[in-house]
Amino acid sequence: MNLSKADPEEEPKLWEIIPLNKYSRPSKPLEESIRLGFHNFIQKFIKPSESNFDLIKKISLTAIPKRSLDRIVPDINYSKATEELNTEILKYLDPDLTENNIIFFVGTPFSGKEDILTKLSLTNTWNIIADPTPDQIFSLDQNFIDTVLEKFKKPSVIINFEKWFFKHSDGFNLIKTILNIFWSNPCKIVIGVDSWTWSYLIYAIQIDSYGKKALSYRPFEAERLQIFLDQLAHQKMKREIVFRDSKTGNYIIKPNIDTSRGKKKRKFVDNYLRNLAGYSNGIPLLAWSIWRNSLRKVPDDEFLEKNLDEDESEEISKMNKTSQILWVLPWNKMNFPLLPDVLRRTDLIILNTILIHKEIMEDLLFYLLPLNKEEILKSVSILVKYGLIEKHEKIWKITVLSYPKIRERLNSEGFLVDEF
Amino acid sequence: MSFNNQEGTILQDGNVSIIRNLSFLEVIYIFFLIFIAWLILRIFKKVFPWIAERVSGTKRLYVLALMPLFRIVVIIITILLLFPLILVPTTENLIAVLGAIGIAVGFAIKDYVSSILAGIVYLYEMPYQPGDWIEISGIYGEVKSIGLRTIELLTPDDTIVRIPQLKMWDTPFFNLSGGSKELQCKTNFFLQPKHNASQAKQILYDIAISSPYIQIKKPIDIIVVEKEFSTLYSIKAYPIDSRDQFKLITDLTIRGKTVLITKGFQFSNVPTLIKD
Repeated sequence: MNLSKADPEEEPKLWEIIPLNKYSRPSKPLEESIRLGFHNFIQKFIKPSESNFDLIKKISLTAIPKRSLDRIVPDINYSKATEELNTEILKYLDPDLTENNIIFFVGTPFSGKEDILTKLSLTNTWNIIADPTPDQIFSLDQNFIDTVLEKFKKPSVIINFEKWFFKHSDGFNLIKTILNIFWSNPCKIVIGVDSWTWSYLIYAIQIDSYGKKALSYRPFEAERLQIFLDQLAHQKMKREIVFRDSKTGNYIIKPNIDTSRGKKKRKFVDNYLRNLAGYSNGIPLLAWSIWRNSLRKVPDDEFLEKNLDEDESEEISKMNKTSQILWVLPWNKMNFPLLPDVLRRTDLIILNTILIHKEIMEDLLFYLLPLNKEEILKSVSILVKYGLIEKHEKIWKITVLSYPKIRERLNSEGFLVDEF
Repeated sequence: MSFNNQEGTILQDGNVSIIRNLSFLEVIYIFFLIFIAWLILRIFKKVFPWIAERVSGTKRLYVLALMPLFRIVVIIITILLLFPLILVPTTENLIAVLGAIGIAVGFAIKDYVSSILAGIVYLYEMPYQPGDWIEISGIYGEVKSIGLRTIELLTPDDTIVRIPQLKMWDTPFFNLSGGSKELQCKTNFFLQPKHNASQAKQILYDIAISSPYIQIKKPIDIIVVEKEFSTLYSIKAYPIDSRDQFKLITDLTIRGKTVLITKGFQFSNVPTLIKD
């Protein structure tokens, strides 16, 4: 499929860079919100299961092998997003370097911010200013500040500004000092900040007042997701790929066999994609993970047992000759991690602390929180048990699939979330 | 001498008795009704807090606030069912019953009934709800349940205190949370007067903003007041959940003291004479 043939008026731009104040998360369809509300209410009175990933394990028997999956849903390439960001940034950066030019690029968790900004620095041969160590942050290390002072005279990029501070009374000094240096000198600098850190630092140090502009990319609503998943599917696969609901046989992403249908195709957006966009908060990597989990080789028994009419059988056999059909697990059969009610406020505080720092070293968790070590370890073991966090090289992170639920829960409990 | 009819007992002087003649089955039925009402009230007392603990955020307060409403509905329905069963519903009888109740209330159970009346007035005014933090006569705690006669407060040291509704009727009380999750907390630091006040203020602000218990979306104020022998710093801030107020105050106090001492600030040793 060649998407470049499509009418630009028909399709939204996939990676669109927008000012942060125009950022709006796609909402869940009303019926899904009602279904979830009812489901969650019932779950409150049911003893939580040991693991929320049971169903995913069970259905994995019919799942597509990883090798095929990597061809059908390959890794996300953020090059186009970098190009768009580059074009947008150049509008705001003063070429003569007569004033401070601080542009913030705010990315949600799993947004690919690191990839985008690394590529941006490579494209423009700009400096990347390395992150400080925790010791350098707490001690306001002068050597580190000198290094930054030396580097920022040329156009520079800070990729992970969330790693430049700690939610601690001694954790703000470095970013305050650095931002004041940037603010009071001519410079050209792009600072990448995680959305949770951004929201927190707006309250803590009014970070937004230092920048000329804060940008992000537009979240992927259902229409964009459709283009995105379709493009991914045809990156490595030569055959036309059709995605259908494994229970009803309805098209999730319609085929693009003849051009007369091709234009109309984009107007059709299945409810599955609306649910996917709403649940994933418009974050492509999150939608990508769910999509990979939901693809099946064969349809449900229910669909196979259904007596297909002649036209339908003919269509399927015709389609099988020209394209490959992949079956998508219905949305209501997806088993997403549930945040159990056994979670205490301590657990929520730990989740919130991890998200505000994007990820955190185990030792720092003990240092930052006014909780004893045993209490933290107990909480961490509960969070691991329910698949909410995972550890890589002594660094705690939120798991991809549980992120939307964690965000929802923290929000309903009154914690600060990434709101713009 | 007396004669029985269906409505009641006709006395010798021709008047009709207030109380109906009750058969054994009717007496059983009355006790059964009272038992069922009592059982429902007991279930409410267990179920509402149980549900409240399972819903998040402000929904918890809404669930708790529904409890007294449901209780009064059950009580009214029970009285309405019992009244025609026990009493002969005539105007004269009603007046007589009310008169008798008036005398009983006037002499014997005045305070008890006043408390119940105060409980009924509460249903109209709703000056406090379960989940609110209130202070009355020096007792501070979270309203756990509201009965018609008493309210139950859970104090910070985990003690249940029952306060008659009558007390709330004639004593000023303070509702610090007012039906919301928000509750302002004050954490005081008394420092020796000779120091850099703006630095101390900034330190305390950073301490407050980095507390995991703080509701960052609400204002955080550092009030500085010069006292006779010390400078008083008050951090005024809100916890995320009113139940975390003591955790917040403890966290701010511990970290505030640690950092201020590390930075060379000295705490006042002289007792403050002016009451805060």
